[in-house]
Amino acid sequence: MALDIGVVLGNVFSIQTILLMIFGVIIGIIIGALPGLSSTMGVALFIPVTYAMDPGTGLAFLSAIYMASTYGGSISAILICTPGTPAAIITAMDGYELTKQGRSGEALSMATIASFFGGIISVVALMLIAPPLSKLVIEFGSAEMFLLAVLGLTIIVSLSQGSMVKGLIVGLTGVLLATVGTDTLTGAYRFTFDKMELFGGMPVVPTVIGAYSASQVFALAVQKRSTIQYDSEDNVKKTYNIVSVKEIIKNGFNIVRSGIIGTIVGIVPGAGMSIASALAYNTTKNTSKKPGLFGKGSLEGLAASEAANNGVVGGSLVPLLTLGIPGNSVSAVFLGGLIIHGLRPGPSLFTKYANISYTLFIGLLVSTVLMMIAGLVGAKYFGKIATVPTNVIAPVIMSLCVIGSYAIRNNIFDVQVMFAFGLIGYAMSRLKFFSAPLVLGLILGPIAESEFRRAMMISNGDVSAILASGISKFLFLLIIGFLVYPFIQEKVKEFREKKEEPVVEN
Amino acid sequence: MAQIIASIVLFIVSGYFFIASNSLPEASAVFPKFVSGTLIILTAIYLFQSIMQMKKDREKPKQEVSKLVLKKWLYTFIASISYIALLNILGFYLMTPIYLLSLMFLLGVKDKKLAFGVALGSTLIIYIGFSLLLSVPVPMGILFK
Repeated sequence: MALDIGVVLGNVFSIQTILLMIFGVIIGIIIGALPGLSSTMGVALFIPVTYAMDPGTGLAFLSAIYMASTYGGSISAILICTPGTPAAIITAMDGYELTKQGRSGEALSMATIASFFGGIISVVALMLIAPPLSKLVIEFGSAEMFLLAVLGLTIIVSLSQGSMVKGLIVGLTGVLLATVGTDTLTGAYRFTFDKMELFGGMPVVPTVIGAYSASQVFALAVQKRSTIQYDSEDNVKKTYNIVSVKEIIKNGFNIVRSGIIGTIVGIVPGAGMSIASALAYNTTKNTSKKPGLFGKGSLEGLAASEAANNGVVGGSLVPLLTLGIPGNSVSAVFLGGLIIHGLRPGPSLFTKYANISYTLFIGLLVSTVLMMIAGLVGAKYFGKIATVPTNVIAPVIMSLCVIGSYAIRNNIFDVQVMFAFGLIGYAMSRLKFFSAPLVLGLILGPIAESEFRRAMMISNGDVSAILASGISKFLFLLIIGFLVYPFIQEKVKEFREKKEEPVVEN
Repeated sequence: MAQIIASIVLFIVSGYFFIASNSLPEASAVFPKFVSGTLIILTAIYLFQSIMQMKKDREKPKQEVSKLVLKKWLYTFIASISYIALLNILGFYLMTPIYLLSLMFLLGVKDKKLAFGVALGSTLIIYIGFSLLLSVPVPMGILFK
């Protein structure tokens, strides 16, 4: 069953889907603008909402939230120097300077336009790269799929930017939790405590909502200062000029280049928006005619940062949809959105379920346009929302977590699981454990196990069969590489420091 | 200190899985045993690293957790857990505004109009979204059955 463009376009341009995408974009911008709420949390929170939707529409809705929240972070970054999401940290540097100069209108509209183009570039890249890339996996047998799942886990762990041990602990805990339930290959109940609700396994979405969203509720609730100073209010009221078309054209090359940088960085698993926006910013600074302006209110720098971080959106979905390896935390949670519709990453998404994927792609293009419209029209209003105090937002998020986790199986047990993981997630963040590997372990774990056992059955217990093919050997090398990489990084750092060579940091 | 507690918890959890795997048929037990075993080893490494780190940090001044933060955390915890516990009794649409208002005030929200507005507004939006548009069942509670 191949791609039927008619069905796809019919899906995307139906009243229901368009309304949902508008809703997703607005929600996304708000989530992005509110400091303390991240794209990861936003996507996690709305996965249950997509359960009742058609899969393509549901995924389009989630990715609209992803795209719009990435842009939304720039609004509070610019207006109140508080990045709404980590992706906007670089944007805050020049954005807030522009606000202080009374040019917030230009900053906001430039951020909107740059985010738009960055986003479009990344979705186009996604559409061009993903389908052929997914064909790679068709040749994969059980041994290769097993190694791929392990690789996915290893990459996220090794790039956890912190202790590798901690990352592995979290990842393996996820894998271990995933063994709870009925073992499909033998029929045995594992670790279910005779609880019927656990026979199908640990509920993935409530765990994800708990670990990513509910945990944040605790963090938000205990913040010392509930409100953020909004002392540049006058600047917004005084002059609200949109950035001139001339300025946009002047930055055309910059924006396109930054969007491409963002897309490529997004495709590399583990590298996220902070890296993308920093890289684009520095590249633009180095080739700019006015490098001195950077950090003091450079529209160029702002455009670079915003185009790049929206570029990551489409890029991060490439390894996720084709190989099941998320490009960053948000796409890891996006996996949950796929699972809930019974979809698995890989070639099937582009063959049997091509209509779903293309609804996602085209929907995302449309949402990006909607995002630009919403941003140009209402950025400053969204900015006002960023000043809602955290002690108001936190309880609302919790109630959304509650209804979200209940909605899937109509089961209060799932809500309890969600809450438990909220506590666990909060404890993890306090102890500086990275939470992304948990989702991955939970989802990739069962894949790894079943593929391993299938491979064993095919080879009659011969473990060396796992490394039989060329692809397997290559994947294995990659796994070892990523496990060893942090140690090499450490050694190189130590070596550099010993030689007293200053490490150039931007 | 917190790291030691975390390590103990990890040991207990992975230890449980490891031992419980023994009563499973061999094919089902291999994977959990391997994973929990590796976890036990990793936790030991983590514990070791944490103790080394704690020794190094002995000279540094200790960070005090402010009483206010602790209070806020407790309020959030108790309010949320009561909310969830009472969901099946009083139903979602009754409990949610109660929860939202109480927690907001407990956390220090001063603007009463904002609090009521948000509490009632969000409950309404959730009602429209989940019950009307998506027809998703919501805990109704014993009182309303």
